[in-house]
Amino acid sequence: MAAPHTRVAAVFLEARSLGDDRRAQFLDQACVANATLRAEVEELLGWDRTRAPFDTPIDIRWDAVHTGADGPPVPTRIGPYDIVNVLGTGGMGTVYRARQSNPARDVALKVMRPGLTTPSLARRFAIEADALGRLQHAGIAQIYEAGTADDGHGPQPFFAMELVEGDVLTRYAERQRLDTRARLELLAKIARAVHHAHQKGVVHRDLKPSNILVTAAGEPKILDFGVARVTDADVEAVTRQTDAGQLIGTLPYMSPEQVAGTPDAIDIRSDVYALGVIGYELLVGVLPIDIRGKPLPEAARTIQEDVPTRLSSVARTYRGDIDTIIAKALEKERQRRYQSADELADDVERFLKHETISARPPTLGYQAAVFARRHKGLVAGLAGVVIALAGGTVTSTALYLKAEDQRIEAELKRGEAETARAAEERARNAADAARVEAERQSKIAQSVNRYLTHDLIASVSPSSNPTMREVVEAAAASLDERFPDDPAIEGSVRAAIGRTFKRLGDYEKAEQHLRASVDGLIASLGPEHLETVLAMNNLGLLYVNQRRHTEAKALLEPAVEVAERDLPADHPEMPTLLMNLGAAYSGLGEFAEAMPVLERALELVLALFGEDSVETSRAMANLASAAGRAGDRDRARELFEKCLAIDRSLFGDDHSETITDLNNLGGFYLDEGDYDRARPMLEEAVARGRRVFGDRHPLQLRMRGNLASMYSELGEDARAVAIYEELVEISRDSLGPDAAMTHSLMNNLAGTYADLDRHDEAEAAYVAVLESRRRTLGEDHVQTLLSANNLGAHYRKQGDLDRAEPLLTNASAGFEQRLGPDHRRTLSAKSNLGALLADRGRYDEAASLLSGLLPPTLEAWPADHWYPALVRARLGVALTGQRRFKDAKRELLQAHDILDAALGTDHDRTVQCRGHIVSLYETWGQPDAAAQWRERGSAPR
Amino acid sequence: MTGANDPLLETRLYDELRRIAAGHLGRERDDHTLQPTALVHEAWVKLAKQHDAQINGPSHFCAVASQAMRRILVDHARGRHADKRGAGADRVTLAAVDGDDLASGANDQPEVLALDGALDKLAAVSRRQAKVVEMRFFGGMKIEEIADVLGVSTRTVDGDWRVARAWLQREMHRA
Repeated sequence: MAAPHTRVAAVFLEARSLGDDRRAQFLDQACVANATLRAEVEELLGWDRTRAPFDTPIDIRWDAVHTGADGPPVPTRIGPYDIVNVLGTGGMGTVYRARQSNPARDVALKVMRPGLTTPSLARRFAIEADALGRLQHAGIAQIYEAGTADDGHGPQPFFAMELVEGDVLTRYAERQRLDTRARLELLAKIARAVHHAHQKGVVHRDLKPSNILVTAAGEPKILDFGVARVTDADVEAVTRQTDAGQLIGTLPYMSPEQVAGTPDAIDIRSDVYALGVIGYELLVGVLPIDIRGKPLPEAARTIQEDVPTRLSSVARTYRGDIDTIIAKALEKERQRRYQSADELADDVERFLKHETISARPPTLGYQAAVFARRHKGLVAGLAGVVIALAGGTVTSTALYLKAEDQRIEAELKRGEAETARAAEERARNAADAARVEAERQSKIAQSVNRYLTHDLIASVSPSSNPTMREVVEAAAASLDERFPDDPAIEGSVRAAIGRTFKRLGDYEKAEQHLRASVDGLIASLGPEHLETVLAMNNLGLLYVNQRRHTEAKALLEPAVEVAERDLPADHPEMPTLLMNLGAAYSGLGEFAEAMPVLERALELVLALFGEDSVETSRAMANLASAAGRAGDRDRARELFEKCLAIDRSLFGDDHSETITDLNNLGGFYLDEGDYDRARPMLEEAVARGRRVFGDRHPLQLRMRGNLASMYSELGEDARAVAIYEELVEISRDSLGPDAAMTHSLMNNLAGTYADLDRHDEAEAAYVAVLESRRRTLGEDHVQTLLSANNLGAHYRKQGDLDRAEPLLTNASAGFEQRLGPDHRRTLSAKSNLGALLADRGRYDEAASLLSGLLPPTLEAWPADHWYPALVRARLGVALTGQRRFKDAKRELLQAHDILDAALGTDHDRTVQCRGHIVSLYETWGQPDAAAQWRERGSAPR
Repeated sequence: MTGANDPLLETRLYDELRRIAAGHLGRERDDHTLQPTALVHEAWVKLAKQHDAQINGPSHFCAVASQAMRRILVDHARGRHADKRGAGADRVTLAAVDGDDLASGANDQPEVLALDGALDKLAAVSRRQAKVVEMRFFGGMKIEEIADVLGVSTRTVDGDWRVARAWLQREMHRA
């Protein structure tokens, strides 16, 4: 009988770890009187020394070229070509080996997939055919013909190309064990071939090792020249983001301008970049920028922003010139690369001949430009004001010209009537006014432009690698005396600087400049000038972001009033103004005011952008969240759902907008206590968010926080704690210990600790949050009150009623004053206070407080939510204390029913409620009923 | 929590890997040789984009992918799809990565079947050891990743691998 496998395995492992000398001895001992075991182990030890066919992970060789299962049937003929067989299928179409009769030769025929062809694509093919045919170079697989065939399935563009037999570049270099010199010679040859095509006006756009074959004679041949250009395949693939799989092989060779998805920016220097990547890979066998495992947007960002690892730091032998050459080809900015493939080839050949190369290691001189590129978004933010002003100039000039026309027309009609003269006069005045405005705008644009280019860019010290913050601060510091005569210009520049500070997260400096901008514009242009209103909108939005809703409201109410009166209804700033004001109202809990403003914003946005626009979905999201908090839950749900549908159709599933919507709708259901609906949505949002945002993004923190709070509500506390602990750590680390997000997460973590009876940890966390909030937000802030309520409730549960009472009293009063008597927070703080009064035996006070709370609580939550049931249960306890047993019974039984349905029969709260029922019957003198309820499982009070 | 045995995910992966593989065979003149990790990576990108909230991370995914990959290769080896595709056009063979002296040559399809059968037998005495081989060989997973999926130490995985490879060789030799 065979020995048990585990025993065999153990002996085998021990034996093989010993040297030959000690092994026999060990086996003697281990297998004493067990010859079977010994034989088996010996046999395995024998196999241990041989090489197994499965030692190395499989390498799958897909020898077959064609799987009929997925593709259409192979045609026998396309245009003038007889199809021999399929060479391969790819994203864009199929490649056949085909036979041409005149001249008699075999060709590679690349046929675009029928579904991908459009009339415009077919036209472009026709135009390109000619140029491609002129490419004749030993290093380029000749394109014989680019045309369109139609054999009944619609036009099918095709390329007929020289059929090349050879090895893919990198594989060839490996197989032939080429030395560095031979590899560089290949690179130079390839670059020369590419240059030939460039001279004929053809850019490859998809250069990569698999598009370069090396023949048996060692000559490289480039395939598919011009194909990408005809189809815009590269840009399309990146911008549509639909074909990540296809892109994996291509993306690493794409230049930053290609992954940016801007066809206009692609030129021969994009090929130079690809040659740099190919050279790099050829020399060290890895890619200069590692995008493995990254989601597409992240990979694209990496290519645009990350500096490639220097060749010399991968392999030290490449220190010096060759490092410099490759680095120059890989420059992010086209102007800094070799300006042609020939220049690259020249330098490679100079290097091989030990001559001085043309490329120079990067100097300090261009670091300002590097800086500007790194901070493109922010620099663009600053430059935005220039564009805005330039736009203003155009409009004003157009107004002026139109007025001029009217004036001339009026002049022609002069003498016809007295009214014409009056009309002319009016027109002349309008023209003059428009001219003045146009001149003013143009002057502003010029000044701002000069300011930005001279003062700002010049302030960037090239040697110090400054941050955006340093630049803006330098600009801000020099601003004071810059525009002594023109407060309007200063106002515009300050607005730009303020916005930049805001994007940098420095709200204090942002406020300082935005405030100065508003004041300056009010003083110079007046409070009702459009620019003043827009500056007010900026500052208002900052206040909203800072949750300083009162100040936001004070600023935005008059701004909206002016805008409503003076701006055309379809002015694009109108909805943002309204949305910011709506957000301010919502923040203040003034939902009745918020709703109509946000409704109107949505209306305007719908008229301006239509239903399928991101503007509309954002306006809907704002309105939905206000509606939800105002208690209009049906409207909220409807809007959240619409919003999600719109963003899904606009952006697909893996987009920040869609994910946010998913989270919002899930969060809505969570608030409703509808866990069946909430759970899959929140989980999906988190899973998608992880890929799209990454783990440290504040939105991702928030979404995971929502998910954890759902787990905790569902009693899955261990799971919730693990998530919260991780989130708190991330948030502390990336946002800081006093950040609002850190506070919320810690607060929730504390609650979950408490649910797990980890009371000391809970208390410590609650206290830490409360103290931090008191310090950073002040005693009366809603968030501080929330912390006081939570800590108070915690003390109460611990039986520490003396510490609980002042906290709960304070929170109840504070909420009532700030949010009103019917707000959920006020209600829950008061309900905690009510429970505390009952604990203290002050049953009359408790019962009167809680019975007063019940009706608004039932209004504020859905009827089947667990929270109103909890209040009811507390009321039941107070009534028991008052010995109003019948009333107590009614409330407690009803509470139990709802808790049971909403949370489940084993949930802590349900169990606790049964405990209250048991004590009721005991106090009431009904021990049988008490025993019955005790048997159902109840927590002792 | 989705376990490593997730039939739905495995089915999707199976389809996806097959589709990707077909796409790769399609890259004309391209490298026809693919590391399983590359395939699995592509499948990951696609599935992650298209479907799914339930995948718990790359290691877990790779574990399921290893299973799917095994099924694909076994199916191919058995020629189950030959009828759909026409005469023997589609052929998948296994080869050791490191060189031309292939332990299993171009016609070594029986090797896959033999390994598959032996793995089933191994699973009967030690499910975990069979899993280790599956993940390592069919999924190209590293020891650390396997340890992560199985929730054991790398030392344990290494021991499992040592035992399994000797055991499987003996089994395949017997067969």
